[in-house]
Amino acid sequence: MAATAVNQGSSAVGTSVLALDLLARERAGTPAVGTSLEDMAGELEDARKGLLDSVPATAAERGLHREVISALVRAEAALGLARQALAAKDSRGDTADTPGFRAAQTALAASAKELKGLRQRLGTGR
Amino acid sequence: MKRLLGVALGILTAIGGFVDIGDLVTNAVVGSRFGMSLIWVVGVGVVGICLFADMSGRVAAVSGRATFEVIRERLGPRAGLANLGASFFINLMTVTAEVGGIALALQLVTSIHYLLWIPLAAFAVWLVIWRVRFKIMENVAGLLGLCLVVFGVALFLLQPDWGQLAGQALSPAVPQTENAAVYWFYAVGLFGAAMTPYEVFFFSSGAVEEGWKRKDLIQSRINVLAGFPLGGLLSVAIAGCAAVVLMPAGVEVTSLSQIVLPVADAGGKLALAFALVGILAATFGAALETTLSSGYTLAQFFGWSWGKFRSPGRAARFHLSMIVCLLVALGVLATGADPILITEYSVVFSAVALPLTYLPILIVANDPQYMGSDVNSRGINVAANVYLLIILAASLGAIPLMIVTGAGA
Repeated sequence: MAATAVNQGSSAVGTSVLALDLLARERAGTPAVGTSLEDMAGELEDARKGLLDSVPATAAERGLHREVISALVRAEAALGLARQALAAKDSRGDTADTPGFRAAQTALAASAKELKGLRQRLGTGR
Repeated sequence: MKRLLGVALGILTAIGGFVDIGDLVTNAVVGSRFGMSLIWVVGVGVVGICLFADMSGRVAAVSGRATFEVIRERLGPRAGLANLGASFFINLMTVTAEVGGIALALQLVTSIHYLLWIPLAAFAVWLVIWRVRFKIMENVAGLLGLCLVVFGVALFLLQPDWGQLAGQALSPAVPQTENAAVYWFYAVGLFGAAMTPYEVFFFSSGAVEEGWKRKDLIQSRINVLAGFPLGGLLSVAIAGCAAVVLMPAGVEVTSLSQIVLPVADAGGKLALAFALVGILAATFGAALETTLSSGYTLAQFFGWSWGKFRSPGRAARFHLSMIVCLLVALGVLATGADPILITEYSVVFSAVALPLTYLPILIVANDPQYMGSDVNSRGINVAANVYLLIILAASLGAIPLMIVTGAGA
């Protein structure tokens, strides 16, 4: 279950990194990127809720659950930053070269790295 | 010259009309998870749909009867009704998925949530079916669907390692991150996406709508044999884009918004615009075809007056049944059911139901009393029987694989 959630989370964060990168390079507009980020926020929420609904059997599994849930919460926060940066770009006409945008990119990159590490540890669960 | 233009238009329409939400989603999912290692299934599916469409088009042109009239005649009312129930259910799922696909594409263009677009999408589908002539409807959707060629252009612009892609395609193997059951589950899904039964209901009913005769068979065969394989290449390009951009990033496709990212990466906003127009046209065209197919199957089975060549007043039950189908699709989507998930299930169930429509058409296409000189040739017959075995295997394997893999999770 933890591996599945990590998979889902890693895929959602990877998509968000790509979408934000495309926006920064002016290769995609805000509707497509905004929709992508919204979809991925839903994916992360599903992954976290799915994990919360499952009951770990052992103490080791409980520890792993907590670790993965924390990583997913951090990913959701990073995605929140990205959506805020996008909203600022949309409403105020900000460029991608703002502190908010850079902070979102950094947070998403950190989250992607964390989830990739977890994925390597846990495998894909398939 | 006019005939040549007609052939060219037919081929272009067949290419643009080949891809629907099922092909878009399934190919992108498969590309992002398996690279090109499942792409052989697209080839198998394309040859299958060519055979199936050729036989059903021939039966319709020779006898003036569409698929479900033949099914009822051959199977009798009871077995035919069971067949109708299964086929109609799959078709309704596909209508729902396509209407959802239109709404998702509109969200990508406008940022307005897809649930708000669903009523408008369903209304637009009904309006076009009600008001627009069959030929115009078919050609416009098919030609705009050609914008999906941008996936092929994007694949070249991405400058992938062609050797690696070819290696994956020519020596298919289950990736280390996946297991064999999931691989075969998606193989069945991809096969179902390429051989969706509604395509044949629409094709054979369209033959009757357009009054095909024996002399039109050559053009229909050219449309099928050139248009569908080229349409299949669009499917390959969609999978290729996902394999090149999404797979290395660890992205597994679960939404329409992910499918267009590789195109934007390769070609920027212009390419993205083409992709969105193509997706909108493909889903809208398929929504028209599936909605019409719902009306066709019911009307042909129950012997109602049907066809767009008749005024709605003269085919009232046919038109009413399509309105009811659209309302049901609207109702399902209004619950918040994920259109992508519905799509994934619809392609698998398409594979399950495929033998029900394929077998009666194969039998009739083989009947010299019915078909006269246009009966299946020996070569076509061998190929069609081999495909019957493949279709049966996919149909029998689909549900167990779905259960074992948790629908490919």
